[in-house]
Amino acid sequence: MIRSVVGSLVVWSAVVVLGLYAVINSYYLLVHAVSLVELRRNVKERAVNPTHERFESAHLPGIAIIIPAFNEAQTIADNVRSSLDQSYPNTSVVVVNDGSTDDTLEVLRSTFDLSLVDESPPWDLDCEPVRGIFRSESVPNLLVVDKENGGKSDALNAGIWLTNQELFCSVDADSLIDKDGLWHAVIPFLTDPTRMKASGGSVRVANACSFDGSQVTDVRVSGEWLVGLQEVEYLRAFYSGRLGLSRLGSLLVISGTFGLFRTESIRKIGGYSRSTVTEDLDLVVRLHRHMIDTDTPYRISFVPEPVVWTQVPRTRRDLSKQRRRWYRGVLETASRHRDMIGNPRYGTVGTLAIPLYLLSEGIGPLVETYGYAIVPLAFVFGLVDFAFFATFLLLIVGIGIVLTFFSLVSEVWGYQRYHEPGHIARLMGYAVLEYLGYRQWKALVAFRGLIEFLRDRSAWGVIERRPFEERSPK
Amino acid sequence: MISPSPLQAQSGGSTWHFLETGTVLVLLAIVTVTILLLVAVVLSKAVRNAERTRRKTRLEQSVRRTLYEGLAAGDADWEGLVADLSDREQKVLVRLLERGTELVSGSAAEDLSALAEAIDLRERARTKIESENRYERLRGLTLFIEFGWVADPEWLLACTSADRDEAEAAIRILANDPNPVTRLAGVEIALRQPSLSVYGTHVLSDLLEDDPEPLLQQLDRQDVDEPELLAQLLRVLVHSETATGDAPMAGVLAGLRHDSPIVREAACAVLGKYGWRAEVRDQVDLAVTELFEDPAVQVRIQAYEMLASWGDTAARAKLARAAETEANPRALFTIARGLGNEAKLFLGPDGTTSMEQRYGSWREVPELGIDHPQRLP
Repeated sequence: MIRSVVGSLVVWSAVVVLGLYAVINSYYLLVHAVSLVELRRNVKERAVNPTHERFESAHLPGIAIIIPAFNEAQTIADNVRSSLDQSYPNTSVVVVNDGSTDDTLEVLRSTFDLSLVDESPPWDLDCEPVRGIFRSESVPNLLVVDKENGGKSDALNAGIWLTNQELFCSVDADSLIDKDGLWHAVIPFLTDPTRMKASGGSVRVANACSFDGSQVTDVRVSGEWLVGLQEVEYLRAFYSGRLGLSRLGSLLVISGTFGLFRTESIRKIGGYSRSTVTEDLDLVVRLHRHMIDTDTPYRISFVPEPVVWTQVPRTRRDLSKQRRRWYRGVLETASRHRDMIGNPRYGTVGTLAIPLYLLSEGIGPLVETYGYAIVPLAFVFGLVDFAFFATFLLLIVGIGIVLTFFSLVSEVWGYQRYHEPGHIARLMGYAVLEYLGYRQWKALVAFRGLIEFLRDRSAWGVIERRPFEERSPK
Repeated sequence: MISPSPLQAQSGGSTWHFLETGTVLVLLAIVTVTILLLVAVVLSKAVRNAERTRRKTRLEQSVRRTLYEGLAAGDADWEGLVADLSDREQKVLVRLLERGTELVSGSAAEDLSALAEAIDLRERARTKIESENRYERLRGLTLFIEFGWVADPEWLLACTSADRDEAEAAIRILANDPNPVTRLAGVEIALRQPSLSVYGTHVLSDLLEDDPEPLLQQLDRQDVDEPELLAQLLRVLVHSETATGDAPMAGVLAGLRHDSPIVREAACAVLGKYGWRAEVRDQVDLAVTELFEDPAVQVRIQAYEMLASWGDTAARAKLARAAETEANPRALFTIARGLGNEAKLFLGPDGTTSMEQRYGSWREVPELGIDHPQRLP
C-alpha cells in the first residue's frame, strides 16, 4: 500500500516535471524562432536603411555613461577609456567610486588627471553622502563622484541624479563597450524618441579575447571549460532569448552590464532599488509597472549588436556566487511584484512575460533539480518505463541542445563575431558538454539560491577580476 | 513536441507507461536529426563565411589599390580603370561604392562620385528608388545620400512611399540642394508624418538651416495636430539660422500655451533665439507668469533658458523674480546661470547661502550635460 502511494507520488511528480518542461521548452522554442526572424530583419534593415547611419547633429540626445565602481582598480582605467572612446558624439562619462577600499580612486586620479570641482553636488543626490566630485584636466566629458559605500544601485542613483543628460547608460566597471556600441544601442531612441524608455544590448564574454587599447580586436572562444560554457550561455541568452522577448513585448531584463535608459523616466520611478540583488531585473519590471499604471505609451527594446565585453567568473566558487545572486534576484522580484503575475491589467507583461519568466528562470531550475533526482530513481526502481526516461532526457538535453544551436545559427547568419569555424565548432562542443554535469551543477546552485532566499540572505559576494591587458596576445 | 498522452497502468500495476517505445524512438530520431542538421548548417555556414571573408578581403584590397591609384592620379581615366577590372572585381567595386564615401572623404569623395557615375551607379540607384521593394528603394535612396546627388523633388515624392524612413531619406536628398522649392517639398514631406525620428529632425534642420521661413509659414497655419510632430518641427527651428525680416511667429508663440508640455518646452527653446524681435518679447511677456507656474519643470527650465539667452535687463529682472519662487534645484541652477554675477544677490535652495555660493563652481561644467547658451558675467 505505502509502496503504491509513494510510487504514485513519484510518478505523478515526474509527470508534472515533464509537463512543465514541455511548456518551458515550447516557450523557449517560440522565443528562439522569433529571435531568428528578428535578427535577420535587423541585419537587413541596418544594411540598407539610411536612418541607421551615423551622423553628427545637435539633435542627438546626450548620454551619460554611468560606471559604478567598487574596488575595480584592476579594470577601471580600461573601462573608462573604452567609454570615452565611443563613436557616439554626445556623451559624458560619470564614474561613481562607491567607497572603494582599494586604489580605484587613485588609479582614476593619476590616469585622468582629476581635479576637485566641489565637495558637494549642485543639487541633492539620492544616495549615500558624497565626499567630492572631480573632473578631468586632460580629457573632456569625465566626472568622478567619490561617495560613501552604498552598493551598486546607490552608486548608479548618484550618477542618475547628478547628470542632466537626456539618456544614461549603465556600464559595469569590469566591461568594455565596442566603439560603436552606444550608437547602435541609441538607435531605438532615435527612431522612437518619445516612447522609447530603455534599450539593452548583447553582452559577450571577453575572457579569451585580444584587445587593442580598450577595444576588442580578436574574438576567441576560451579553452577554459567553465568560461567556454558561459560563452554559450551568453550567446543563447542575448542573441536568442532577449531579442525574441523584445519582439514579443515581453523583455523583463536589460543587463546591468550595459543598458540605456531615459533618465527622467528612471528618476520618476525612484531609480534603482537598493534592496534587491538583481537591480537590473527589478528596474525594468518597475518601469513596465509605472508606465502601465500611468497609462503612458512606452517601449523597451533590445538591439542585438551593441556589444559589451565582460569578464565572467573563472572559478566554480565565483560562478556559484554570481548565479545564486541571480537566482535570488528572480525570486525576490517575482515576490515583490507578485500582484502583476497573471494580472490582465498589466497586459502581455502581466499575463505572459512575468509568469513565463518565473516559470523558466525561477521554477525551471528547481523542477530540473528535482527531475534529475527523481526520474532516474523512478526508472531504476521500475516505476516508470524507458520511454518515460528517454522522453525526460529528450526534453531536457535534446531540446536544450537544439535551442543552443539555434543561437549559433543566429551567430553565423547575423553579425558573425567569431570569424574562425573552429571557434564555432568549439562552441557547439560546449553546447553538448553543458549537459554533462554543468547544467546539473547549476540546478543545485539554484537550489542553494532558493535556500538563501528563504533565509533572506542578500550578499553580493566578491568576484575576482583581472586587468584586460593581461590577455592581449604577445 | 510530445503530446501529454494519458498514463496507462501496465497490467502488472507497478510500472507506468507514458508513450509507446516506438513513438519515443521516433521523437528521439527527430531531435537527433534536427541536431545533426543544425550542426551541418552552422558549420558549413561558418566555413563559407570564413572563406567569403578571406576572398572578399583579397579582392577588396586589390580594388581599393586601383581606386587609390586613380585618386592619386588626380584626373583619372575611370572608364579605362574600370575596363581593366575583372567581372568579379567590378562587382566588388560596385559593392564598395555602394558603401559610399566611408571609403574616403573630402575632394576624393567627389572623385569617387565621378567614378560612380562612370559605372552607371546613379542610374541603378534611380531604378532601385522606382522599385516596388522597400529595401531596394532604401538602398537607392542611400546611394543618392552617400554621393550627394540631387534629385527632382516631384520625382522623389512620386517614388517614395508613406514609410517614414523613406520620407526622411528623401528629405536628406533634398538637403543636397537647398533652395526654395526643395525646402517647401521637405516641409511638405515632414508634415505627412505623424512624427519624425531624430534623424528626420536632423535632416530637416539641414535642409532649412539657412532659411527656416517655409517651416515658420507652415506653423503659422496652426494645423499640425500631433503634439509630437509639432514639438519636433519647433526643435528644427532651434537648430536653424534665425529667420530674418518679419517671418511669421504666431505658430511658435501659440506653442507657449499648447496643452502638451513638450510643445511648450520646444516653443520656449525657439523663442530664445528670437529675443531681438520686440513684438516677440512683448508676446512672451504676456505668457511669462503662466510659464513660471508651469507644472512641468522642463518647461520652466526652458523658459529660464529663453530669458537667459535674451540677457537684457528686463529678462534678468524676470529671472530675479523667478529666483524667489522657484523651488526645483535644477531650475534654480538654470536661473543662477542666467543671472551671472547677480546670482550672489539671491539665496539658494538651502535658504542660508547665496545662489552664487551654491552653484558657482558648477556654472561651467559641461560634463553635467548642460550645454544650453548661458550668459556669463
